[in-house]
Amino acid sequence: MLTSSLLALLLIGASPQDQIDTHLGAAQRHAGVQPAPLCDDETFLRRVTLDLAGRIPTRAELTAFRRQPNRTAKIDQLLAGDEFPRFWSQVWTSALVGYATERFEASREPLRIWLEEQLRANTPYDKIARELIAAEGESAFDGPVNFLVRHREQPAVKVSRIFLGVRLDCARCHDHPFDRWTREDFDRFTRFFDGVEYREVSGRNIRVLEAPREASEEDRPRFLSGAKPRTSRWRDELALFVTTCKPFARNYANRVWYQLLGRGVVEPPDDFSANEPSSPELMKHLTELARETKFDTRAMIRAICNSQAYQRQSGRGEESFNSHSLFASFTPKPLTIEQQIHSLRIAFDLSPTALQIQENIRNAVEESLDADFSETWAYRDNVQDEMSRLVRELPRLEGDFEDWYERILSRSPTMRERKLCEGRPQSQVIFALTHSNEFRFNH
Amino acid sequence: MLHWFNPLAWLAAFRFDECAELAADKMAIEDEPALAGDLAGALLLVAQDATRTRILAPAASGRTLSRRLTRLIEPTAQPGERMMLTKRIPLLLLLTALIGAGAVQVNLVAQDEPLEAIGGGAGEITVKAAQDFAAKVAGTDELHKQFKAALQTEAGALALRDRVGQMEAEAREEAYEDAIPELVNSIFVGEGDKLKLREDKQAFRSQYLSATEKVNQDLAAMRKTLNEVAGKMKLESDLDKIVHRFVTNESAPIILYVRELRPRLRPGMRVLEEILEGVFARRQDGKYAIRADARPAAEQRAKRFTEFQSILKRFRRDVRELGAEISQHDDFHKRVHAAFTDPLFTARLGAELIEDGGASRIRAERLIGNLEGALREGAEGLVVHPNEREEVGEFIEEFERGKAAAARLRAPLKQFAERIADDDELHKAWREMLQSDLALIQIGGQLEYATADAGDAIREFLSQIINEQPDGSLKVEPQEADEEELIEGISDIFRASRAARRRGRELEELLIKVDDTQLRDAMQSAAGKVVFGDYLNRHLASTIPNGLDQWIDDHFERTTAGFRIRGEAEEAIRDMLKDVDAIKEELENADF
Repeated sequence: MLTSSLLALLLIGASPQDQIDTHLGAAQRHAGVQPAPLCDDETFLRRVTLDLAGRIPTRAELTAFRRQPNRTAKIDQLLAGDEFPRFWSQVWTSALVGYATERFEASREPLRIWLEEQLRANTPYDKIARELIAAEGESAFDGPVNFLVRHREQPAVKVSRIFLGVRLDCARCHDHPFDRWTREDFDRFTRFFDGVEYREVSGRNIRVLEAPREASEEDRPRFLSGAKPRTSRWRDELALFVTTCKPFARNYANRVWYQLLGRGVVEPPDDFSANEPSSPELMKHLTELARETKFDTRAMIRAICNSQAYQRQSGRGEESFNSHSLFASFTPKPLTIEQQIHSLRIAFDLSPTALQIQENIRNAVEESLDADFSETWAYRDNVQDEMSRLVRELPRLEGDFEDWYERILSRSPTMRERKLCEGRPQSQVIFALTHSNEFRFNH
Repeated sequence: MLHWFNPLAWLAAFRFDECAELAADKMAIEDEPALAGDLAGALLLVAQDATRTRILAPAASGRTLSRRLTRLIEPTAQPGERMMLTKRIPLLLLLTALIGAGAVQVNLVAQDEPLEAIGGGAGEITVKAAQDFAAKVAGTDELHKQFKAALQTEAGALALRDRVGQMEAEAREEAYEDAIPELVNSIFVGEGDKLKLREDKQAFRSQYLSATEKVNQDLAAMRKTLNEVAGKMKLESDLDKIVHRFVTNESAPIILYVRELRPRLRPGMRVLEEILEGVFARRQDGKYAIRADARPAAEQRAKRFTEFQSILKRFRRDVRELGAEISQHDDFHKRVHAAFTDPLFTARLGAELIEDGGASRIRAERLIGNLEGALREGAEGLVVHPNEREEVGEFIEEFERGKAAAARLRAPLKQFAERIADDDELHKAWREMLQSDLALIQIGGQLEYATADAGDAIREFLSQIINEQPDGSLKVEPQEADEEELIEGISDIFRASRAARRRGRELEELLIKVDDTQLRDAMQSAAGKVVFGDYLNRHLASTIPNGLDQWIDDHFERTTAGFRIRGEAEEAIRDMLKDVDAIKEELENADF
């Protein structure tokens, strides 16, 4: 086993993805874990299209990729595409505010639209985070303020979790013997938000503004690094403190990794205080990568998707803990609602408009969750209605089951599947395919 | 108990899976009902063939599977869906009224045109804006250089926001503090020991008097109802007594009038705002703009409206032609006849089409076909089919109500349309649409109080918390709120009314020297103060301080070469630079 400093020496000049695999390879060997082979081209195409465009590949894309299976070029093409900002804005919006925003008088969609614009313009992630924390403006028009409006009860808890991977929740009530953060830390962190004011300009339009604050030395807020604000704009200073400290870069790198690999190097990703990284070298490398690329999200994703770790076959559910945590195989991820709706439409050649997707998602989730989380039955009914509606709208498909497999599962049927499908009506085959877990997971 | 401990994402994924299955089962059954029984078999076949990886085997576990099987045997119909763009005004609950009212800034009284009075701009100073300013700073000495360099950084922009923000906060406080005397001074001018109306304020005077008169009539009608209610109230519980105190209080009901009743009696901006809330939000600058998340739906709606406009002429003729054949042998049919031949009725039908999928020619024809289907031949023309009488009656009644309300809506809708932001084509399209008959009749149908009488309005309002007993007496029985909430709501109204009284006295004192006694009496009356509140809100909205300009003027002099730091401001600038350095230092590699 190489020492980490020797390893570091060997890695000079290596590409970021090679460094990922070198670090993981060393950790896997050390733990006696055998990595799974790389997945086939069809699986890779489906996986990366779902992860970067939020949908399964079209048949045309499948045919083209079979002819020219250049994985790196595919990653670049998807990152440059129009769908990447849209899908990742959905992913980030869910992480930032969840679905049930109306109940908190926040508007999800303006935030998503803003994030999409930022991703399209390749705005560095630290700048995005800074604007979210320090946001001012009107919730119906200015996307970023909706993050604070949604979390106005406990902004400190959410900010520390989502941007630093620190859980301050437990310190809210009392000190815990094994937790490093105390109630005092929590209180003084919370004070950064003392100046935020929320004013209702008109219905469902809340203006967030910052009133200048002053306080004596011992009453001033204090960041987890010990830093205290100098000016009267406490929240602005917090935004700077948060986005320039090292834990921010660590947390960001871990979250992007988590999104793509289905599991964080630190797991769960919002609790760095209590959990060690499964591979400290990998964590360190990813953190440095985040800072070197100046929080360019595409650069980060490019490095991860090009790694062997991302391209391995998926696990069979029989793997050891070490195998999981050291990414020796790919962890299947259930499709998000957005991915499901979009994929279903792609499989049936229904190119969705923005309004349709927005409506599908809203019908499926938002209203029922907004009403009351306890009304899970209502939620189920809504999703069911929406899916029924989508399915009702589906046109009949041309072709035979060879085509349907390619449309829905992005692969050809196996010999055994061919035999099973023989003589069965379209409705049955399509029914089985759209209901297989193979369709409903990114594997 | 299900999954309370699970992360939401997992719950969502699980439920979604399950529902997708149920949904497509249904599709399969509709396709080939005979095969329903065989489907479970097909599923299991695939389950056994999970060759790719075990985790990908289809879910066919107990609970879910059994429900799917039930569904395969008993398919049920799915209800049709319908998109509502506009929001119906919720039933006027006292509570909802009060919660929303917390945002009213000036408690002296009112807002008919709600305007937010707080300015600002410190938050808009980005690094870019700071850099733009730095580029205009002219000095070349060390201090100027340092200042310009500082403004290139996040910390520098932050320090600038800090200074400007503090300045704005002070200015705002002053503006609010001085609002009443300033407004009075803008109306009157001192001559000796008298206050005389300014010469250019004659139009203001007559507007003020007539506005006060209108409010006075409402207050009188409301008072009459309140007295009547108070007289019949049975005072048993504390809650009865609290509500009774509210009903008999001199000023508290006025707050309710201003916040809740008046906007509906004279449908001003605020009620339109509520109805159009799904699409528009009022911005800080007072303009109405299409919400970021409502754009796709607003675009669709505008498109359908254009579509409808293109078939309008022919559609109107067709409806009228059908209407002309309707018999007028009794009152009911006279009303039906009148409705069908009314241009607003065509608009009402158009609204139906637009709400329900689009206004293509074919859909319009189908709708006329449906209308015809509800009619049959009678001795003197077409009559409503007995089976359809009830439904047609309801539709006509709703139309007549909408039409009555629409008459009062035309002016405010025009006003609303004029205040739509000039942002782009879509905003323009909506401006046009909102001034059409179609908008008029559709929005008219959604007004809660069709009545124009304030006495009826307050009665309707109170009926939500007060019930008539068998002996004819009245008793407090809130239907949709608990007692605690009701008491909290009433307390809030009383608080607002006390605050209003205090500021009202300030106004009365200022007006003592006014020599125009008619105007003075009007302004000092309760109704006059309601009107004064409207002017006050408008005044506050127009005095938004610009902190950046003020800060720059305080610290810099403008020379032909650019901005130079004033001698007396050097220390303040040095202080600012110290802050910038201190912040930067904190940022160096912080870790924990």
